[in-house]
Amino acid sequence: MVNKLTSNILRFILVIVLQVAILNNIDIGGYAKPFMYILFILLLPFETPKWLLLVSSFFIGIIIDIFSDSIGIHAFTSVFIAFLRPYVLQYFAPSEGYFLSTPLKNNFGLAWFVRYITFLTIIHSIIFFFLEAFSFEFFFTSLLKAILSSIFTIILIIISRLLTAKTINGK
Amino acid sequence: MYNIIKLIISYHFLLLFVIIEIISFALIINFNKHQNVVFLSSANSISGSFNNSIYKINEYFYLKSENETLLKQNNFLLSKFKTNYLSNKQIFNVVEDTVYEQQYKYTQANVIQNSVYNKHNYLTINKGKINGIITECAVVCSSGIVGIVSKSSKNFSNVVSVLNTDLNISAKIKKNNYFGSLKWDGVDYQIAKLNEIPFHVKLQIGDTIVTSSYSLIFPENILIGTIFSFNKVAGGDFYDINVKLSTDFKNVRDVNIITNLKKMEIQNLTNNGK
Repeated sequence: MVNKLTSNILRFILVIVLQVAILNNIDIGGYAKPFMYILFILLLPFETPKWLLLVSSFFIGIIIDIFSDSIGIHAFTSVFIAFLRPYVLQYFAPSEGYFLSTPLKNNFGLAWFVRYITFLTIIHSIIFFFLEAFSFEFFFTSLLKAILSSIFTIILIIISRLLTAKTINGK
Repeated sequence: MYNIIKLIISYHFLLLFVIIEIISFALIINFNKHQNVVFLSSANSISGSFNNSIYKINEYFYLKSENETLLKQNNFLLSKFKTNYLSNKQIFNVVEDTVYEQQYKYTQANVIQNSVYNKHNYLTINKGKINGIITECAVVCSSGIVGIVSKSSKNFSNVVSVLNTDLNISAKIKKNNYFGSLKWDGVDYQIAKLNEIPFHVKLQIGDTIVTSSYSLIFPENILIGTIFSFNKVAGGDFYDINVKLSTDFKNVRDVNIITNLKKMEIQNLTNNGK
């Protein structure tokens, strides 16, 4: 339990540093922005209390916001996917149910993991870009940005999981 | 109370989600310029249309004061019209000639006030002392005589109309130069009486009556009117002649004021002779 808490706090700090220091500076062609910090929300243990899920998502969002000068947008988006997370997990649940505590790739297979993160990442990106534009005037531009950004984010998340899976799994 | 708490606990996830999202949204609106502008403008368009309809209703309650303001403004603007300003332009010429000395000077003027229905009718014209108009100037119009200036102020003059029972005008019959005195009897604004024409004078209806040369005020041969009817008064010496005035006094607008430049000279002479 303590281990899980520490690892999550560490991940909390790590994704923020990674997002703020490196990924915030990446913006491919003005369309694809990586939002890897949502990995923290995605990887929270199943048994996390629901209120903590929302509150921690809010805090990670607002911290990212402070550093990227977009107060509230990341917070709103993060809390939204945090709210969706239990229902999505329920929907994508394997036939035998969740017998392990963390939604990691290794635990339920790559295909399951990709499905799970793809769904939430796309929703996150769409909400983020529409909040950023704050109108439906540039509907297709925003949608294209959202799709390209989610693809970028998903690739980054999968790569990071492939690289770190062993260590975290070992814990 | 317990039920409410129970309800809150069972829905705490949704409630917390909604609360946090509202907070986030408020943060977005307050700290992001673009979102702030968009939100405020769309919110303003809603509140704006509401306020507009309220304003439209309220407008009716301010119509009266609005009217007063407009009237004041109208008065102010109307007073700036050119027609409200008196022109001091003087249109007359005094010709210096040693062979033909000018006796009469003409000044154009407009009638600004008129009456025909009283016993003593007066007109007001828009020329006064500043234009060289003094008392006892003759006033004529294109169709005939109008009256005599009785008083003049700086910019205006008061004219005793022919339609004034106090006014006598020296008149004559044009074809035979018999002269008499024209006086209005105060009845019909188109008819005046010509007196002092003796019975032996041959008259015809339609004979022209003009001003005589014995007046110090009117130049000779200015049209007064035509004989409308005449009859001999039993036991008298003079005809009772009705003259139809050529001037339509209900329609006098543009008049000429005639100043007799030699009047003083003649007056001095006659006074000294007495």
